[in-house]
Amino acid sequence: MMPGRTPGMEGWISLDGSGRLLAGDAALLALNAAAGGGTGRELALPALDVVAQAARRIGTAVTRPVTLGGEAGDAVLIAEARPAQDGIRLTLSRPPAADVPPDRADEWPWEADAKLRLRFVPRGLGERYGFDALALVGGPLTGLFTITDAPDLVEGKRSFGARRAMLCGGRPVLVRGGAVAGRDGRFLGYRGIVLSPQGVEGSADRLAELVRALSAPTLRVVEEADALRMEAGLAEADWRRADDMAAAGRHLMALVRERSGDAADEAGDPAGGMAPVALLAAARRAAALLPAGGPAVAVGGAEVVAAGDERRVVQVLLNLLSNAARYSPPGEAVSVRAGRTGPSAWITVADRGPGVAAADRARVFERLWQAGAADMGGSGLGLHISRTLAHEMGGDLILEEHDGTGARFTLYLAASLAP
Amino acid sequence: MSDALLRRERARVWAAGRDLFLDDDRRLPERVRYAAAAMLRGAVAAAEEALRRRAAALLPPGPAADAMVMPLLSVYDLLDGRGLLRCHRLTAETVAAARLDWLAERLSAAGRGSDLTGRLLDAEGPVAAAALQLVRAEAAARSDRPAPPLSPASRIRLLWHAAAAIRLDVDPLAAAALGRAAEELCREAAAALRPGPAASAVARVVSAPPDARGAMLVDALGDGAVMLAAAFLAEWSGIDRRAAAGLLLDTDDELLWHALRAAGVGAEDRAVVAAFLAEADPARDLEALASGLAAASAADEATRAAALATLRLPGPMRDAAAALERRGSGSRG
Repeated sequence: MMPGRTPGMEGWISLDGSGRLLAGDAALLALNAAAGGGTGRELALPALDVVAQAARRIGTAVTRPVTLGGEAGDAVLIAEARPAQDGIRLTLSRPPAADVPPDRADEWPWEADAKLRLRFVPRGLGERYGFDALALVGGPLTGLFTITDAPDLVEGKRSFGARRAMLCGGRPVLVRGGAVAGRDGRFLGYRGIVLSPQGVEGSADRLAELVRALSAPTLRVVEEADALRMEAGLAEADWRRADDMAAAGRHLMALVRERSGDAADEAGDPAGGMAPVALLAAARRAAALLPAGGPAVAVGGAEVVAAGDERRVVQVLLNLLSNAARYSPPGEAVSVRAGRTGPSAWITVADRGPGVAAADRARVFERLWQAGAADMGGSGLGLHISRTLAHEMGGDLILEEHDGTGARFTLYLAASLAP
Repeated sequence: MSDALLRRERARVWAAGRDLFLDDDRRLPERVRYAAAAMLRGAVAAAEEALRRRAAALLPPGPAADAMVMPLLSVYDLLDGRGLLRCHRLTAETVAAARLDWLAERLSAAGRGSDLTGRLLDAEGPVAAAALQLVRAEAAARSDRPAPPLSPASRIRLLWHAAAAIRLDVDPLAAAALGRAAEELCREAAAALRPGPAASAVARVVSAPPDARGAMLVDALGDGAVMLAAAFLAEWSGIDRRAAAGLLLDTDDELLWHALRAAGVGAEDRAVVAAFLAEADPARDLEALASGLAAASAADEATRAAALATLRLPGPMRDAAAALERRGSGSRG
């Protein structure tokens, strides 16, 4: 191993037309010197030299991962060599984050029509598991998978949570499906996901870990809040705060208990009881769980009924409202609107805070992602969990693009078949 | 200031000037521009990945096969830098695919879905068979996103360019495998199922009496099945499918209404089509749309035939005529 700075470094060097080192930043020059090189001589770091030579030979920018060693061990970095006016300029940077979040990499969408014919499945699912996926399109949905313990489940034409299933070719997977309804409530088909057991096991492990971490402190919050409420001589405002805290804690405990069950039975039915949910009423219940003293929540418009699990809907809205409250400027209300678009019911939570930078839009639903300063509070898990809950109900949670200020998150669910 | 800095500054000002003085009506909507750019990158990436995987499979296991699947250079940057992606046909197909996707998404979001394709799958014989090919072609195209469903000619051209670029960082033995991989993939590209031709095949076998055509076209648009709607329009009005798709995407052209009349679509259904398109695309000029509809309704047979004459020429002849016109006006494509 070569001596030198920890190889998580970023830096640059420039080489002349013959590949001799002209200049560079101190860290890279030191690393090169430690390997026996120096200014005016050929590069002593072979991994970088290969990239620089390639760029010079081809006459265009060349990028490739390289492994460099240092005192703290080896690190993979990205080397980019660009032809410059008088030679080659080579920069080192850290590898970008993976494009696909790891917990989504093993999820494959599928769609079926009202007659339960498979209308879409990506070619890649078949390539992954050794069958021709496109040849199944247009045929019966059961050609793609069969639910292990309830082969007729899809005939019910209702949303279902993750269930054990046998994929075409006999591979065990988990499958979930969201029923899509038309404006008139007609069943139009399914949109669902095939999850590889590997991906599901990973998410079940993470869920179990999260549940374990949340259980004890949540119980403690409820106990403390209850104890506070019992104290004699408590001012009205303080009593209300304690009451809010206890209610929010109990809501969280109910979710934790429910998720404990999910984690214990990873192939259970995370979609739970799908039933008509009045979205604006759910938003008002969620708003009531927010701590006192935050921004006003303006819930307006006509009520819209979606097909979902009420507790999950309230949890998603509570997360969105908490998030909006955290970033809202003083005196600005958080607004909530709901509506229907085709077969979908939606509810939007909008704030007038700083919004989400374009560069961060793709990452807001990643685990542990947080906007701005860390002292804004929040765990960085809320949006990740919320989107997971939305998916479990066969819906989606998206960050809307819009021209105004602030952030606008919309929860989409199938519109309820109930009147 | 060094010569390099001066050159960079000139290039920056030149690019800014092109952007600044571009007519608003020639400017792509931002979302379409981003989507088309992503599609172009996707098309190059798909060609590169297919070539590398196929060539690696043709090589014996070892360093040459390993190097084949470890990109050393950016094929996109190389082709872009040498101007090889600035091909008129490739640009036209990529932008059209992005605009079609956008229009399809907007039409679907309106929630008027009738699942016309599902009804066609329920039909007997050749109609069901053609519809099955269509849904499979659509699933294949969706699987390939963000790469657009390019014509065989564009796909083949891109495969050869990508192969030539990859050749620059592999050894001669590997380059030979790359050539064989490109030949195989070009043959497959020529035979690949694509949504456009599959939709045309459906339109050819569907028996649509004139009084049912309006409803079918409206249903197809309501489903967001723009390619199928274009195929119907093309089949019934005697124009080619690419031209019909172009008419559905155009913002202010009387030609669409002439074509719909020629297809036997009645005034009421023409108005519904207009309403769907206006709702889906806010950039459409409502005044121009209304006056175009009225003008087409009032036009006689001779006027309509004259308006559609160019669109009834074979596609390659229209391409050639357009190329001739571009060269005549001094631009290169």
